[in-house]
Amino acid sequence: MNQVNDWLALYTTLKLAFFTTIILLFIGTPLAWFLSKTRSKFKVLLEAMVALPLVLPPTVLGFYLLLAFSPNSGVGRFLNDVFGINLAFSFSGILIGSIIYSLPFVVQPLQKAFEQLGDQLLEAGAMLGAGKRDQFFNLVFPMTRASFITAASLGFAHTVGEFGVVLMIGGNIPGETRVLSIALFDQVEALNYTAAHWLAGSLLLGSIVLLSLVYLLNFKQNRMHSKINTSEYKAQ
Amino acid sequence: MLSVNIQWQVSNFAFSCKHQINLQGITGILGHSGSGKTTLLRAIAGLNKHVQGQISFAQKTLLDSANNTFIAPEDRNIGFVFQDARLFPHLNVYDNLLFAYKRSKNKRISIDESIALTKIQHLTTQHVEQLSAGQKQRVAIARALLSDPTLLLLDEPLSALDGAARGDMVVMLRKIHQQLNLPMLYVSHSVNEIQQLADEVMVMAQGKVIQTGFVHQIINNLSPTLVDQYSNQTSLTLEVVEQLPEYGLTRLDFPKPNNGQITLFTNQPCKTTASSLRCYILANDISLTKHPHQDTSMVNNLEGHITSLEQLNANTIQVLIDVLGQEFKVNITRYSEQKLQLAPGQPICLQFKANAIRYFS
Repeated sequence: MNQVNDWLALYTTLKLAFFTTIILLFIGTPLAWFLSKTRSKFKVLLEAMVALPLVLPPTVLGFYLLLAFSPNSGVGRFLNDVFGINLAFSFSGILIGSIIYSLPFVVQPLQKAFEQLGDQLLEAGAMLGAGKRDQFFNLVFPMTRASFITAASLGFAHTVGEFGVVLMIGGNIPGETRVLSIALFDQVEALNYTAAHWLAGSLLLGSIVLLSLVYLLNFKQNRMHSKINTSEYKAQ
Repeated sequence: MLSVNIQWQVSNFAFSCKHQINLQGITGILGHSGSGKTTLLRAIAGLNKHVQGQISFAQKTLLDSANNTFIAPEDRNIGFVFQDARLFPHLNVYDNLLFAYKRSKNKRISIDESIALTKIQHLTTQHVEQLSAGQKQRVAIARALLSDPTLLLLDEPLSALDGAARGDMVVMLRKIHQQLNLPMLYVSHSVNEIQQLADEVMVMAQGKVIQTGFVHQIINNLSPTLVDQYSNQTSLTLEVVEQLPEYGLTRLDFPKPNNGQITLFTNQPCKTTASSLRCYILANDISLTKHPHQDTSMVNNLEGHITSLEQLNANTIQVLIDVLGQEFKVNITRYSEQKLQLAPGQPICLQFKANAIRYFS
């Protein structure tokens, strides 16, 4: 019984991390682009908002989201009345929580890559007839591909490691909101140390493998950037 | 015809330019860094979106800020060669060229033609980071040509190159201009590059155009702040009369001498097909005598009249001499000036060696 539940928790975790990452790439890319290019004074505030999940205890975020999702709140009632959805204790709820919680892990590497890339090569592209979209897909994306992989991996890994937010807004519903980190907590509470070892060990190993890949890519990209910067593109 | 009437103000830099540029041949823009040359070029390209005013090129409005008209740089069909080449590091040389070719509307020039014009046949499969500064700039020029522009803007393209590579590139740009008949705006702080390339010249200082005119006239009347001892020169176009291969010399003549025969010799190699050469003679390379000398090794001897004497610095006097309507600049020491007791109106003889007549070949 327990083992089936653990497999289910793995499935829920991977599903959550997968959708979170995909959605974050769609939201995070334009946000990171905007942050890398804007000179607005609100930039600092926006950056602080994006970085908030890095310092905030996840339970704080979870608490406010739980209040917002509750049918008694304005947001919760609106969602329930208009769309008939109840986000509290649902997969959609923990998905929204994860997106907010993992946002800086996707936005920050992309923002840094876009800033490092600068405008010079894009200006060269424009002078050869490449419009904005063309520049993004044929210059920006191939030159910052490694940062996209880093951003996606960090977003994915961070979502897999999430506990507080999911516990607060998702509860512990098998197949819906019960993720690996919560399953591990349950096993330890029930003194099932063998099962706990399996869960903890596989999470640890999976994270090490993923992060090693990320740092390997970073290493390679930094080498490329240092080549770019030392040659000439830093001029002006 | 390129018509520009623009202003731009940033903190301590005020830029304004109202000018009609004919675009016959190569137009040179000469000035120190910070004079506004690059600002003008970036405004024409559409890379500076903060510039106010009007720009039109070949009856097409590119900018009219009063009517909110701004054509995006990618839609202007203008080529730009940057000081720092800006090749795409994720593509090799050939793919950099292909990037431009794919986006060109008319495709009047093929990739092979652009490679031949810039002599980069041996580089096409290389990664751009492996190229030297001169090679990078050749690829950048080939890439800009492939976008089939109606106007090519060049922003100090040779500033990262050493002397020999610079000379080669000047000759190459001249050839490209002749073959493609492509209008070019060439920005540089180097008097020599402008002297060798440009036909019309605009001189900029402190965000404004301060002089415009034909190249020789501009260079012979440059404001002293733009001139150093290497660019203090007499700029002129000489006709090739005959080659003397047995001596390695070329006999040259003034194109418009008022009357009489003037013969000059240069020992620099010169193409057998060349009919005229754009030359410069540094003011420090000419010496003066009061009487003509027959028994001298100097092959170039001219006679003229002093028109003016000017103190350049503590110990240098610049003498302007008229030789049958052509003005020569000569720098001598204050000591020589006093010894010879020079004064305006006096007849005077100029002497210089064959290697004093310089040009890029």
